[in-house]
This record gives sequence, structure tokens and C-alpha cells, in this order.
Amino acid sequence: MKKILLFILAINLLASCNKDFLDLKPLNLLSEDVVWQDEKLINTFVTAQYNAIPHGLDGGGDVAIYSDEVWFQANRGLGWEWATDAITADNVTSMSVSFNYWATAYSYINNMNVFFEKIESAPVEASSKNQMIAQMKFIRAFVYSRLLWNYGGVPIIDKVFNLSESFQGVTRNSYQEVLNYILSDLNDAIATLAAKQTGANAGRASGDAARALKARLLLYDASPLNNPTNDLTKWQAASDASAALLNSGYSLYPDYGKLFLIDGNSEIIFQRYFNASAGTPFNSWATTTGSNGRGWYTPTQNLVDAFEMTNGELPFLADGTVNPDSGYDPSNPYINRDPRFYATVLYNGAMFRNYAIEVYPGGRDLKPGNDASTLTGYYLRKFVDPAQPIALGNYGVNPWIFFRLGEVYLNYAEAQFQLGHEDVARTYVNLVRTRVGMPDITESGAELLVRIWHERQVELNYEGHRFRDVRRWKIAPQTESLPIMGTQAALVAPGKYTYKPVVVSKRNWSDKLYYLPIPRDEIIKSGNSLIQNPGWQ
Amino acid sequence: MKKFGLYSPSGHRYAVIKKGLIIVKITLLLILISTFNLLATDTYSQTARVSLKLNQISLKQALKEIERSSEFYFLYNNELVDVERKVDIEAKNEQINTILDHLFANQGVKYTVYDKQIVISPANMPLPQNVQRKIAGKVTDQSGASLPGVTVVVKGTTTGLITDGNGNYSLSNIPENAVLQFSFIGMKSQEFVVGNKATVNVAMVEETIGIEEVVAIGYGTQKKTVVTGAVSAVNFKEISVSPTPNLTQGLAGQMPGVIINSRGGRFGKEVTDIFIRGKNTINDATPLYVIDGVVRNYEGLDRLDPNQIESITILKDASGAIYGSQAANGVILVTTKRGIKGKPIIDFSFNHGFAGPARQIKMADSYTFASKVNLENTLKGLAPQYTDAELQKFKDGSDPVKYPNTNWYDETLRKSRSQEKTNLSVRGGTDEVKYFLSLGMLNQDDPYIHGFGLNKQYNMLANIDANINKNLTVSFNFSGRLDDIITPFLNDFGDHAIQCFPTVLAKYPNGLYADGRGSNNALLMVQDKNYGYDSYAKALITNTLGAAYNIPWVKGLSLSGSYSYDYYKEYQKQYYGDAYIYKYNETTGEYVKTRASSRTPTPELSNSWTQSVVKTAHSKLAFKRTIAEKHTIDAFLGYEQSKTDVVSLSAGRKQFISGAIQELFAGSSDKNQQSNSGFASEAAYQNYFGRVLYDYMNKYMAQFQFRYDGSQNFPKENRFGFFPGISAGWLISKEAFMENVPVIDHLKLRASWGKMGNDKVAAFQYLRSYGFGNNYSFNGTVVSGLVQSGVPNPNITWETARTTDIGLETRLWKGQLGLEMDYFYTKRENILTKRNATVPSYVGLTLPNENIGSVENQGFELLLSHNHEINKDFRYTLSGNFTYAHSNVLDIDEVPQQEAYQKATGMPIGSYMVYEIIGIFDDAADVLRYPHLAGTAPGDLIRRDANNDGVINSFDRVRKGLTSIPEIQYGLTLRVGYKQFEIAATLQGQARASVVGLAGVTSFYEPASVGNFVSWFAEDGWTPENPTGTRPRPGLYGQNVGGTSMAYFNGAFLRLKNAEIAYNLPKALLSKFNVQACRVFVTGYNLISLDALKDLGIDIEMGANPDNLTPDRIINIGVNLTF
Repeated sequence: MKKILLFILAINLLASCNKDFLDLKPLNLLSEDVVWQDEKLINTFVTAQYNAIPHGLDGGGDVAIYSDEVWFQANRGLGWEWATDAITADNVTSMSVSFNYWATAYSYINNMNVFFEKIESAPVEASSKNQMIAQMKFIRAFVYSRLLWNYGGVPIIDKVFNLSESFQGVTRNSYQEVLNYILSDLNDAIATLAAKQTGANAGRASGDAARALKARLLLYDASPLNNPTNDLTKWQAASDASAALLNSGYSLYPDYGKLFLIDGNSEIIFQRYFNASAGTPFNSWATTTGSNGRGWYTPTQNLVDAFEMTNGELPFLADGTVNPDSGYDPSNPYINRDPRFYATVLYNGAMFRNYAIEVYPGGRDLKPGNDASTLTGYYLRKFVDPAQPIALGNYGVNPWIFFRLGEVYLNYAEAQFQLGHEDVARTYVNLVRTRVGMPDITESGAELLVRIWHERQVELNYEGHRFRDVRRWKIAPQTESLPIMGTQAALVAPGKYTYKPVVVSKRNWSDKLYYLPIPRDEIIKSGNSLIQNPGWQ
Repeated sequence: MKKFGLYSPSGHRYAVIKKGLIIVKITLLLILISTFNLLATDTYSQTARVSLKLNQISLKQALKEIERSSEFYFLYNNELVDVERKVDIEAKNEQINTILDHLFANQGVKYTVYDKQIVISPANMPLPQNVQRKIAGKVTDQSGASLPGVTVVVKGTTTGLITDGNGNYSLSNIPENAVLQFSFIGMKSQEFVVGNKATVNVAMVEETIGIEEVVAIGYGTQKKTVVTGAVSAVNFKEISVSPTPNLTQGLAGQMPGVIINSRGGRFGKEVTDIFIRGKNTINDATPLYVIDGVVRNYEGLDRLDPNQIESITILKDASGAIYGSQAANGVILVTTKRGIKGKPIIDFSFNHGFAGPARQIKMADSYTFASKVNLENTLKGLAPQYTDAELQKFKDGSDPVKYPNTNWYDETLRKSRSQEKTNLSVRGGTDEVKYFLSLGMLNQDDPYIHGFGLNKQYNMLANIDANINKNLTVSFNFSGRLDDIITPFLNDFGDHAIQCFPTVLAKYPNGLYADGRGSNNALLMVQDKNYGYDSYAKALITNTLGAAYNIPWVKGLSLSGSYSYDYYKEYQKQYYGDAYIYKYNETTGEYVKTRASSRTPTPELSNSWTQSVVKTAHSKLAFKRTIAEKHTIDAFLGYEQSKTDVVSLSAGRKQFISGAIQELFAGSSDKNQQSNSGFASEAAYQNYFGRVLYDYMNKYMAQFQFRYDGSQNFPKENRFGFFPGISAGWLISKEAFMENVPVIDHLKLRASWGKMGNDKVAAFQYLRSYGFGNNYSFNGTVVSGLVQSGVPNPNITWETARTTDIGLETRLWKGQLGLEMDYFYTKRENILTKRNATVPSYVGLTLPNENIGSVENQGFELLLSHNHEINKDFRYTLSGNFTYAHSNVLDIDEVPQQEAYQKATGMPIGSYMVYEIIGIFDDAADVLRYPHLAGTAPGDLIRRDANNDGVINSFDRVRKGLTSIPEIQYGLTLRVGYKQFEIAATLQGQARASVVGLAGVTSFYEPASVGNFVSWFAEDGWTPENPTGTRPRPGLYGQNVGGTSMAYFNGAFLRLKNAEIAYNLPKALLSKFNVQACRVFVTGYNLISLDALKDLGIDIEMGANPDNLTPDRIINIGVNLTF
């Protein structure tokens, strides 16, 4: 009997109560107090915030896919609302992150506010602390810049909310307030950060990165959309900001095509690095279907027509007829074009991955058998490294360049033109053209401005500029109401093709499209203290 | 209530049966009588005194009054004893004999008192007239053990007796044409024609729908008649086991209130949805699985071996409250078989099934496809892709190599493949030790033609109970399950199989793999292991050691405890190697070998290994006793704790030089091509629980149960919650006034209310923490990032469900008709959701889940059953169930929608918004007549301008209330027995559901740029020649049907889920081979389906995820042997 009782007791003892039984700690998470006492962990927190800045090698391709440069073949699912004018403040949240940036931006802004609150008392050496603060200021400035460009003035949130307080009553700061806030951050970053980050730090925020952002920001600020009175001091500020980078040790990389494939080349001011274990899908997504890529980023005829002939003449006149001076042959349209055309566009007959692209019915790259053959008749070559493997995973390692000297030259040229220094403007545009062997421009006055704008369209294509440029120049009502065009090649005899323009998508412009809508939910949740952008109510 | 008595001509024994609840006592008594020749112990009858004063009432009434005022009860046959005559009684503290002597004076009636039982019979029963012969025999149970106490009656007479202690009987003076009836409580009555036989041996078969059926109710069992909660039980002896290897799927349609849908899935990894009474929460709504008393949530029921299961019980209402914080979604209790006393019974079963897809997606053929490509091109202003001559070749198939018609499903899917299920078990025991041991095996062939896939499963179970002494019982339960699964890498299979053009070959005539779809050849994918595969080796070992001790000093008090140790391991391996397709060069005539497009540029392997250990201990102090034969108390208090520890390791290497060895070490030795990781987590529960069942005379029942539950998921202050459940039942049929309603055998009203919790949320949401992630590359090197967790919610706690249930059960006409009805109402509150409506994104906070949502769910269930035994050869049962459950979101902190018809609040859980399609634009003029999207052309979808603002945009999306979870589910099971044959069939149906039939299969009907499409689009498709076509034009740019009502189909269906024909071989034949029973059968699964997706070839339950396999149709042949 005793044995039995012992047995019973033993069984029950196993199940005996233990007061601390439920006091478990997560085994995969760090507690808050540990993090903010440890410099390395804080630095790790800073690192994560770099992801706040969208790059163009993910699905969204920055904002290029919403412009007239590239027709994003896969946006049948992703962005059809944009293509069919069905976009509203309600469904804008279904768009890609660079376009629908609101929530992402503020989530990172909150992270940075947490950082600024905690860093004060963190036991970290001052020099190291200042470097981290300056990096965070740069990132914060970049985030607010993108908000400013997307939405105009937005609320400046500089505190960490807690869940129990009221979130209503937040209002939008003015465009100018946000701009000043960004500039103040950038000036602090410029003062603290090394002009160039090298070695293991390459890719971190640098003084020059801050200068380049400032240059773009001030150029946009001086542009017609934000400068209706054409206040020349704004152009001067823009010019000064760009000038600060003209002689800072950067040079135009001689090969326009390779420029986008080589990390840390001489032209790059600020880039995002990738490596094979954390790459981008871009390479596979952009590669032609005939090479087992997805062929999603298809340049438009609108972009193709913007490339000049090697003689510097545009193939078409403003009225759409062939420019008789250009030597353009509609039956052989891809000869004698600006070398940047060949570095950007894969057209019927272009050599790529060891064969000539076939973009005609029955051709290898317009053949049934892939999810998306091109509708425009073109595929993208820019940013695509033929040496990289085609695989479904993220294996692309080429950089995304946020700022490069070529842009700075064109920023400077545009500002100098507006300040009346046409010769300086021409010089810098021509520097960009000389790199690819295009003849100098000689125009002046309004014609020169058109050349400068045109040069940006060509030189900076697919880098996220066009969408914003047509808006700030206020030429969007013209450019954005043109249909997205493509071409259809037909094989008529061996090696002989005909080309026929096709409308890929009709577009309508409305002035509300100068800015994106703030998500409708946000306005309601603010208690209507946020005011929606015009036309989106 | 009808009573009858039996008279044995041998004179001195009376055996009496009275239907009803005293039946058990009688049985016991009968056994006593037959075994010990009845020692008359007149203690009660000598001591008891009765006082009564009654005038001019019937004898029947008088006897009833005596029963009521004493513990005596009477047994008589009202055909032999006149109980309607009026009598008077006047007794003061009289012995029963005195009263009875008075009542029966000069009536030719005698009575015999067996303690409290009094048998009344005619004093001189006439002997049967035609005195002829003698018959004897032995009665046994199924296992062959002798059965004492079985009533043996000559049909149509009162001649009869009961079997003796060895199960023997002997009757003389039997008419030649006599039919012997054998009956025994809990067993099916049997009849045998005596004919000229001198011996009739009978094996009694257990009654399946016995009134004393016992059901598991969580930490105990209860007689079904007195259960007060809403409980559905499946006894595995009753259902025809479905041939599907997945038990969950096999149960579909069998139980009211249990909604089961097969969502397709992968080979060896079927996806099944199981919801108890619909979906009650926007969060995890899966029920709690308790297997042999221990919470075991490993893959639900999916991979259990039905041969090892005794019963499955579903607790649907407050009866689940005993499982407290985990019970809100319902509780599924699985009880495995245990040993029973008797000589060993060896069961062997073997099943061989032929399985094939029940549906196959109907893709357009090459001619249709090519025609639509041309139409799409033409509509875009492009040149047609195919010439008329080419179209003709596709159409007539005259050049099958250059102009093939490839159906990628036909190419890849096997129409029929084998599966085998084998089980061997032995069950038996002595007074001291009882055992059940079982080994099951399952083997399924790959669903793909010449595929390399594998699905093997082994289930081993051992349940042992030992009586150490008269008060102590110990038990040990062991179960082991091994799964070996290999599947092709299928993530893109559906895409390829669907979108790949029918105009290209899968394989060249010389047997080389063709290009397929951009070097993704669906056939290569499933046939060449090097293309990539997933393999899983899983093992689940569960052990429970338990002991129960009857504390001798207090009658009815017992102490029990158990300790369980569950070990689960999963080893996963994913390999992508080099596989090749061949591109034919027409000019050179060469086949150019090309690496097939894969997920990885070089061969790579990733491995992961996860183990989970769950230790559960519980102890229970229980008290069960019946006091004064009226008040039964069954109560206990328990304590339980469980701890889960999970660890995981993973590693990978790239750039395998050779695929010959697919293990880590053989990968690249470059550190940059290697990776590894690992993690750990732990979880714990601690709780106290108890229950009191009170039962007055099996007539009035009440129950209270509770659980005081603690979960580590929540902060200390909110960690413990109290979950009570109460219920009550009234067995109306037990009331005296019901005796005049002979039709009703059983009538019970029951009601319950309870509070339960759902804690299936991420742990530690109350802590502010940081985790590694959001990495970034500097200078080409990945640098770790650190991510702050969301805002902690220090108040986080469980969801709570308050459930009310009212039920009515009845059984009429001796069990011929059974009816159960339940109404239920559940209000789920504290649902964890984010404060959507109030917290704007600009505050930047990652919101925690907060207990703010609420949802109500109500409906009713109906269970109807009908048993009929027409004659000894022909019997059938029919059982139907019906469930209606409708959920309604009360509050999810929804942002006010711009349009009232977009509100999710007030709609069922899972409601969704779509553009309503009201037609197809016929022509250009038609387009102008109605608001449309930019770029709309004839043949495009007409979206309804829901807010009539003349513009089509997101505000025109309309919310739909029907979801993939049906509001109505019903089932019908028919079982017919004719002689040695049995036929069974189960119909399963559902209604008020909506399924996505198109979105997943082909969102984009763009043949020229995307690929093939379901032929549904082409049938009555819009063309310039057919402007009134009801399906859109090809090349609907931006007119993705996915977000429109066109993609959704009525989810109602009626299917013949299971059907079986079985034959039981005659015993006479079997006994020659020492086999006790042999049953051969043919079973079918998923045989017929009536639904709206037939034309698309899509299975209605699985919806349209093309990567998942369609549920199978299975034809199975099998044999069960019992030794």
C-alpha cells in the first residue's frame, strides 16, 4: 500500500504547481533596455532604417512604371487602377511602395523618432553617436523628400506617440515647412558625415549624398510647380547646391551601359549595394522572355522616340512627322541612334545574351510560352546584367544608384539656364552628351530649355526622374495625355521587317495627378484635420 | 411503458425485462440469477414498510404508486396479468407481502419477491400445447466469450429463459417451426429458425445505437442519455471509414455542426478546413484537438489512422468550457481504442485504392487557344499570330509534332494511381491487464505520371491498462507516427500547367523534354527530381503514463494523474539541381541542351530540422457516487500544466558540383555559398479545472464546469482567466405523465451557457522587444538590422466566447426515428484586432492587437435518424444532418467606408468587395451608354456603377456576404443491410457559400501575352461576330476578372462523398479456417458532385489555387479479417 501511495504521489508531484511556470521570456527577441545600452545594437538599428528609401530594382521599379518611359507588363495585377484612371484615395494603398509611400514612410519616421529619443541617454561615445545621428538625419530627410514630392506638404511628426493618446488633429505642414525641416537635417548631415564613405562603410549616408539630395530637392523647389513666381533666388540655391558637387572627385563613367552595373564606380555619389544572398529580382524580371526572363519592364515607343539620331536630330518633329534632317528610316528605325538607346532598349534585332532579339509574331521573344511578352515591342537593357543568372530568386547584384554625377550636371545646367547662364548650361549638358559621343547642343533660349529637359529624359531614363520632372515642369498635361505607344514588327522576308505603331494604353491627364492622394483612411482617422490634395476628395 | 414477463416451464425461474433505465439493474440481476441460482435475500422486502391509501384505481396505477413510495419495482406482462382492474389499498406500515397478498387474493396470480424486484405472473401458466422437441446451444459475444444472462424466447410465446454462467441454454418442448429470439442489453436482438436443428449457437453483436451509449465529454465520459451539452460523437464502428488517407476529409458530412472542406493541397499535405459551427472569429478559428485526454494539435486529425480510433467527439457549446482558454473554436476529442477483457481478437485490414483527380481543369485546346490569340492581336490592331493554315492544322491534328494540342494536365497527372492502407491490431485482456496494439501503414503513389514523389506513413499505437490491485489502475499509451513525404517542387506547377501554351510540345517524339513555357516544362518538373523537390521526414511520438487510485476510505473518491511526453521532429530538405530541356533548332535540326529555368542559378540544398517537445502533467481528484439510488454526483477537481519547447536548426549550401550526393557536405566549400540559422521558443500553460455533474434519477441533470486557465501568451496580470460553463437537462420521457405517450422512447430538453477563450495569438505582444531583421548591404556585404516590435499592448488577453445552446432530443417508435435539434448563439468578444479606425498611419506605430473586436454567430443544427429492421435479413438506417450558421461582424474598428454597401461591419466574417459585373459591352455604342474604365472596348466587362456617380472606381466595389465557409451544410448517410450484404452511402452538401472559381486559375484572360486559359472563357465568348457573348473578349487589359463578381461562383454543392458495398462471408465457411469474421468491401470516395464549377473542371471545395492538387476520386477494395 505504501508503494502505491508513493506511486500516486510521484505522478501528482510531476504535476505539482509551480509559481513561475508561466514566466517565460521570448528566446528570439532582445529587450528594449538591452538594445539602447549597446552601441553595436544601436548601430544595427540604424542600419535597418536605410530600408526606408525605396529603390528601383524591386517590383515597382521606383515610380518609373507610372510614367511614359516604361510599360510595366506585370502591372495588370499591380497597377491597373493607375492605367485605367480608376485610382482613388481609397485604392491608392494597393499600389507599389514608392508610389504609395505614406504608411511606410511614417513607420520609418517613427523608428527614427524612437532613435532620437533614446540616443540622448545611450552610453555611446559622442563621436560615434554623432555619426549615427547624422546618418539618421540623412535618411529622415530622404524620407520626407519623397513624401514632399509625392504629396506636397505633409505632417512633420517628430515625437513618438503612445497608444493611449489622441491621434487626431494632426495637420499638414506647409510645403515650405517640410522643405526647411529637410534642409536643416541635410545641413546637419553634411556638417557631420564624411564627404565619401569608403571601405566597409561604402553605401552609408555621406556628406556628398546629403549634398546631392539637397541639390535635387532645391531644383524641384525652384521648378514651376513649386515656384510659380519664378523666384530666382530659388534657382540660385539649386545651382549652389549642385555646384558643391561639381568638383568633388567624381567623374562621368565612360561606359554609359556599364555605369549601372558596377558598384562604386567613379560617377556614383550614393548607391544601394546588393549581393548574391540579398539581391534583387530585377535581372530575371527584366530579361527578355526569349531568354527565360519575365520581360516585365518594357520601354515605350514614347521613350524610344526620344532618343536622337547620332547627328543630334530627333527622328520625329513635334507634329509627329519624320524629321527630314535626321536621316531616320522608318523601315530601319534602330540604326544611327544615340548610344544610350542601345544601352537602354532591346529592340527587334538587338544582340543580347548571344542572340538577336526577335520581337515579331512567331519570334523567340514574342512567342507564346511566357507569362508576359512585351506589348510595346521592346525590352529593357539598362540595369540588366547579362552575366547574371536567370532564376526566380533574388540574384541580381547590380547597384541601384540614387545619385550620380550625370544628374548633378543636368541639375546644374537647368538651374544655370534659369539664372541666365546659357553657356554654362550648354557646357554641362554637353559634358553628359560627350561621354556617349553625341554632338554638342548649340540652342539657346526656350529651345535650349527644351534640350535640357530632353537630355534629362534620355540620360536619366528609368531612374525615377521622368515621373517627377514632367510634373515639376508642368508639362504633364501634354506628355501624360499622350497614349503609351509601342511598335509591332512583322517579318516580311528574311532579315526584313516592317514596323507599325500600336497604342498600348490610352491615358487621360487631370490636374489632380500633380500630387498623389493621401489615403482616405488617414483623413478620416485624423478627424478630418488632414486636408486631401485637390481633386482627390 | 410496456412490460412483459417470461415464464419458464421448468418452473422456478422468472426472467423479466423491462425497457428503460432500470434495465442495467435487471441485467445484473439476471446474471446473478443464472450464475448463482438466486439466493433469495429478502432483506429489503422484510424490512421495508409501505403506507398507502388508494381507492378504485387500476392495479397498474397501484403498482406504480408502490414503486413511487418504495424502492420496489414490478415486472409483469400485461397480456397475462389483468392490470386494468380496479383495486383498493389501505396500508399502514405494512410489509410488501401483506399488501400484495391483499391485491392478488383470488386472482390466479402469483408474485415472487427478489429483494426489491417483484415479478407478477399467472399462477398457472398453461403449458404449450404441441410438445415436441428440445434445443440447446451456447451464446457468445463477438469475440467468442460466453455470454451469460442472454434472454432466449420462443417467438410468439412466453416460453423462454436466460443463459447460464457459461452462456448455455437448453429449451425443451419447442414447436417445430419455432423461431428463437435472443436478446441482451447492449446487443442486437437476433432470431433463428430452429428447423430440425438440435443446437443453435449464437454470437451476439453489440448494439450500435444502444441507449446506454457513452460519450467522451472532456476529462471523462457520460452516458449519452444524460448529456446536457451539445456534443456530436462519431463512433468508428458506425461510420463507414472513407478510403481517403486524410481522416478529416473522410468525416465530411457525418456530423451536424462540423463544417469540413477539402481545399486540395499537395501530395501528402492536404489542406482541410474544419470549423465547428462556422467561423466565429477573424483570427485563428481552428478547433482544439485533444487526443486521449492530452491537447495534441499536430496536423489535427489529418494523419490519424481510423483503425486505431474508438470515437471522435466534438464539444460544440459550453461543454468545451472545461478546456477554458483554448476552447472557443470548439473541441475535438479523439479516443483511441483500448483493450477489452477476453481472448485476443486480431484484426487485419487491407485496402487497395485507385485514386485519380476527381476534376481536371478544363483548358482550351490548341485550336481554340490560337484562335483567341489571333482575336486578341486583331483587337489590339496587331497582325494575327497564326495563319489560317496553321489554325487548321491545330484543328485537325494533322501535324501533331509541329502543331500539337498539348493538354498539360493530361501530360502530367495520372488518371489512376494506387494507394494501400494496411492495419494489424490485437485487442484483448484479462482481469489484470488489457491491451490494444496496432500497426498501420499507408503508401500513396505519386499523382504525376512517372513522378518521383513518395508518401509513406506508419502509425503505431499501444494502449495498456493494468489493475495493480483492486484500487489501483495504471495505464500507458504510446503512439508513434512516421511520415516520409517527397514531392516535386510545385510552387509554380499550377502556373505552368495552366498558362503553358497548348501549341507547344511537352516532349519531342524522341523523348527529350521540350522547351515548355520559357524552359519551365511542367512535365520535367514532376518527373525529374533534379528540377527540385521538397522532402519531409516527420516523426511524432506521444507517451502518456497514467494512474488512477480509488481511495478506499471514502466510497467513490479517486485520485488520478498522468504525465505525457510528446516528441515531434520534422526534417525538411529542399534541393534544386540541374535539369535540362532541349530546344530544337529547325535550321540545324539539333536539339540544344539548355538548363531548365529553376529557382536557383546553381544547384543548392537547404535543410532544416525542427523538434518540439511537449510535456503535460495533470492530476485529478474525483468523486462519483449515487446516493440513495436517486442522486448521482460525479465531480472532480483537476490541475494541469504543459510546457512546449521548440528548437530548430537550418542550413544550406549552394553550387553543388554534382547532384550525385544531395547532402550538405557536398555543396560548395566557399563560406559565402553556405548559410545556417536556428531558433528556439517555449510556451506554457497552467490551469485548474473541475466539474460537478448532478443527476436526479436520470431525470433531471445539471452540470457545472470551470477552468481557471493561465497562458504565458499574456502579461502576468491578465494571464489567468476563469471560464465557467453550466448546463442542465430534463429527461422528459422519464416523467410519469409521459408513460401514456408510448410513441416517445426518449425526450430530452437541454440548455447550456458557457464562456470560453481563444488564445491562439502570437506570444509576448505585451513586451517591447527588438528582433534582428531588415538587413541592408554596405559595400556588397549584408549587415544585420534590428527591428522594433510593435507597440506593446500591456492589456492583451484572450478572446472570449459566450455560447448559449438549447437542444431538444427525442427518439420515437422504439428508436425508429431519432431527432436532435439545437439552436446556438455565440458572441465572441475581445477579438484581437488592430485599431484600424482610430490610429492613423502617420503616427508610425506598428499597432498591437487589442481586444476590441466582436462577432456574433448563430444558427441551428438538426440531426434526424431512422432505423428500421424490416425483417431479420433486411435492415437500414438513414441519418441526416443539417447545420445553419451565420456570423455577423459587430465591431472590428472599421474605418468608415465611403459607401454604405462597403461596410464589413454587419456582414459575415470574411466578406469581400468586388466590382459587380452586369454584362459585357456589345459594341462601341454600348460602351458609351454606361460608365466605364478608361480604355474600355467592346467585349469588356461592364462594371456596375454602384454609387451612380457616372465614374467607375474603387467606390463601386460592393461587399458580398457569402464566403468560402458555407452557411449551410448538410449530410445524409444511408446504411442498408441485407443478409450478408451491407451498403452505405454518405451525401455531403453545402449552400450559401461563394467560391473563387477563376481568379487563381486565370486572372488574366490574355492568351497572347500570358498563356492558356480555361476553356470556359471561349464558350460563348465575345467576338465581333458574337457581340452578345456572355464571356469577355481576350486580352482584357486591366480588366482582371479577379476582383470582380465574375470570378466568384455559387459555392453550393451536393456530392456523393462515400459509398460502400460490403459482404460478410458466412461464419460457417470461416470457421473452417479459424477466422471469426471476414468482410470484403468496395468503397468509393468523391464519386459524384453537383456544383457550379463543373464546366471549369475545378473542384468546388478547393477553390482555385492551381498549385494545389484537386481532391481525389478513389475507388477502393478492401478486406477486414478478424481472428
